[in-house]
Amino acid sequence: MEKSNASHSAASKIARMKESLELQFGHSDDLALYPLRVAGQEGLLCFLTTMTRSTSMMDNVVKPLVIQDLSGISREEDDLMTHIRKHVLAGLTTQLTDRSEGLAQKLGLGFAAIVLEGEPNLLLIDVKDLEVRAVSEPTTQNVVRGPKEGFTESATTNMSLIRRRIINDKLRFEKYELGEQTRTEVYLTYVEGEADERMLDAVRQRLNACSLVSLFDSGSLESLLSPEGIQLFPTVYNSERPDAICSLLLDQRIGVIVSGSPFVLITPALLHDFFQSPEDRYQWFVLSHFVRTIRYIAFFFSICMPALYVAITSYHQELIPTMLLTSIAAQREGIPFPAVIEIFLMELSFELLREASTRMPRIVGPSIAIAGALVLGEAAVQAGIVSNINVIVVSLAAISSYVAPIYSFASNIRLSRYALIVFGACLGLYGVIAGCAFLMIHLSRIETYGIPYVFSRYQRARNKTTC
Amino acid sequence: MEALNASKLSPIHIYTIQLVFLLGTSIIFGTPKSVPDTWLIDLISLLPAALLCCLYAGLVDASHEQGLYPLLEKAWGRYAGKLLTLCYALYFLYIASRNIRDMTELVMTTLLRFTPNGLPVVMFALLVAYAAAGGLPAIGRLSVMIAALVILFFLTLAWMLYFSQSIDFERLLPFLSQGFGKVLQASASQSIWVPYGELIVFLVFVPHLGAKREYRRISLISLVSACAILTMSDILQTTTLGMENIKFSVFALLDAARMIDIFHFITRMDALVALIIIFGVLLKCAIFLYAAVKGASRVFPTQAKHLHLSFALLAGAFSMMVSHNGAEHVAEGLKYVIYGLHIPLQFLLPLGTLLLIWIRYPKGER
Amino acid sequence: MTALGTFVLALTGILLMAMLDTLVYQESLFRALMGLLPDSTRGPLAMIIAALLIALWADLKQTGWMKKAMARLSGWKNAWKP
Repeated sequence: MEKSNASHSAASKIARMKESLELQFGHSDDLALYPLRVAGQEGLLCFLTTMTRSTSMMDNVVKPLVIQDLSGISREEDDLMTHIRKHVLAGLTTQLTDRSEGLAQKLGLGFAAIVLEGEPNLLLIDVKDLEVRAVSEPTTQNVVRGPKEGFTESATTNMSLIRRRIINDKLRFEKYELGEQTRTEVYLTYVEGEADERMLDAVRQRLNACSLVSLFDSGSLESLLSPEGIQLFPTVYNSERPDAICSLLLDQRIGVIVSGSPFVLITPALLHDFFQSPEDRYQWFVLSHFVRTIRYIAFFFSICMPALYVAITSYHQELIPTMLLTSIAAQREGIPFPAVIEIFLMELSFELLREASTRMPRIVGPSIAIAGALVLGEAAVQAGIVSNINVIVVSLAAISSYVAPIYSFASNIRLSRYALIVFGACLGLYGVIAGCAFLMIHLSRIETYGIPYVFSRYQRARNKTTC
Repeated sequence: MEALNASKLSPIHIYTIQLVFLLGTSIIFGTPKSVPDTWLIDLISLLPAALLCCLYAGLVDASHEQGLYPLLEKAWGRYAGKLLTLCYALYFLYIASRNIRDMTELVMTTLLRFTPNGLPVVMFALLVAYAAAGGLPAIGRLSVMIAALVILFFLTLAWMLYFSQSIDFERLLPFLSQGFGKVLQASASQSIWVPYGELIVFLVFVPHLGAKREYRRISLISLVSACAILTMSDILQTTTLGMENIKFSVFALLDAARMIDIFHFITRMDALVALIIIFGVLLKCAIFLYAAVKGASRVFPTQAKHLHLSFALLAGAFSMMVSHNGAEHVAEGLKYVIYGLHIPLQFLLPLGTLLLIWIRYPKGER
Repeated sequence: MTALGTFVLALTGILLMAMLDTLVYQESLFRALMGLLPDSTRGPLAMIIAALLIALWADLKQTGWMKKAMARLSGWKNAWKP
């Protein structure tokens, strides 16, 4: 009688659980509720088919359970669930729980649950097995000489790419779950003993205070980790390359890996980092210094050149050498617009071209390049809308802006270019100088967690990386 | 977030701040031309300037590393000390406004001839306020950039002058045509106070400057380098323009830069000189503004966040009211300001303060 | 306090400049002051007034008077709601 009563309540227990899960997941197609029979008891295996692969489920969970005959197991030491956990499913991450309220959440996280009639506990097994992109060459930050592995969207792969390079027991990963709706896994990475404790506490505080609803890419976290105020220059470094991230981690910085994003963040970032390519460490140091100087000069050119062109041709023509001046004057003879409008026209069309070539499907790509070169180059000049020198100035500025290895840095700088053009148009060379002075003052004022942005002692790499 | 390194300036920052401070405007104007051998005046004034710095070092000692304003209050008593603090704050603001006026004069004559006076001044005042509001570490980092720029531009000017064959060392002769005594007199009465005496501003932020001995050494090094660069600038001006012309030029380096003519290709390098003076004056005024705000916020206790902006606008306004025209500005600066303001406040008052401290607290009690 | 400081410094600054003008032009202080103010046209005066207003605003913001005033001002928007 008792047994039938027990089985009656257990059967209804399983039926109840089945019903409640189906209700919670809204009869979703990927919810799998398979009946099991283990050790003579009726049971239920629940999992989401989209969070795992059927081969993995079969090999790891179902086969071991079904093959062994567990009816004869003595119940003295462990009860059935614990026995299954220790002997049958050893090697998998399992949890025993007696509460069935959080079951739906656990299923969503990639767990499978085994419910048996006679057992009060539920066994949760981590069976998450998702497809991930293979490790391939990073799309940004290319190098000629150096490793060509890039991070992928899976946080586990990224952590493994870092772990295999820093073979150090002091490398730490701390897990956070950010984003109320998405519960994205975010890992805080650092090398203990290198990163400063107070900085770590500050970063932890910020991560805990995150109130984002959804988090899909590491870019959303950048504003969380930056100091308050207008951020003209990025204070968080991001990279797709494991070697860049690892060398920075060894340089007393803190890394943030966001699941679902191939860009790993590093904070605090210095201006120096944005002009350094990982290749600099793998080449002769004289060459690296030379190229880095070129990068700084290119950065300066890309911001100031259009503004200088406007200022000098509008107000200070005497600064241009005479022969060049006559040829510029001849070119600008038939142009109906003043220099400012010309520059803005060209800059805006370059922005359009840039944006279009990024969003265009790859198949149609080359046609944009041809159209751009033809329209913006020859045709505009021949139609008399812009002058040749204008096209040269704007193209040189655009090319120089991509010399900085980090794309987000170049994007931020584009805005200051427009401001400088306006200043140059209003107040000539004095305006450009004042604008540059403003940028210099802003650069010297930025501090992340107390570390200054320029001329910081963090710049000198503490560890020798070249002989 | 919390600062990991309190507010001590690193030695390099102190050096570059002082260097740009001393070079700032003097590199453009050159030494006052009462005597033809201006470069000799520069060299000789190193000694009295070093003595003046010894006085200031003595003040640093006497204040037990607390700065000028607490020292004034300790020596003269609370109310007189507060009054003197206000005097110094006003003095710093006034010098800042004179510097802005210098810069405005140069920019108006070379770059922006037709713009009304107010607009560049307001822009500059906003820049100075932004720089000063960043605090001393930010000013330190800014000064490294500005020092590099100023020295780079100056060397470029020198190099270009050399290559355009405008330099003629014969123009340095006749040597000591008016006698050595006049040189000494000119150096004592004018050349010490204007670039070197302004170092009294650094007494205001003694708490940030680090160890005393270190500061003294850095101060001396920056004095010597500034003296060398100023002498070089004077020699450049004299050899390019000649002793007669240099007497009549207000912005000597500007006139020298106008003589650059390399293969008729690179000419009219006024912009370089304008760059030098804009950046130099920016840093000088940022330091003066910071010191003035510190003084005023001791007398009128307030959270000094918006005080920087107000004082910067005041300095800008004063710069337009300081004199009615350029000639008056130069004449005032050469004679009346020196006797009326610089000598009392840079020399007599600190000397008096030091004596008072020694009398009132003979064994160095607190 | 900020406003007071700015005001005092503005006044003493003008006084200082007038005194230096008396030295340069050998005229009386009153004449120097009169020469200073109108001659400077509207630019410097506007800047001084702007400086004083900014200082005043900073002071008010600090005392919280501004917040209460803004709250009371924006309260009228809700007055007509049922």
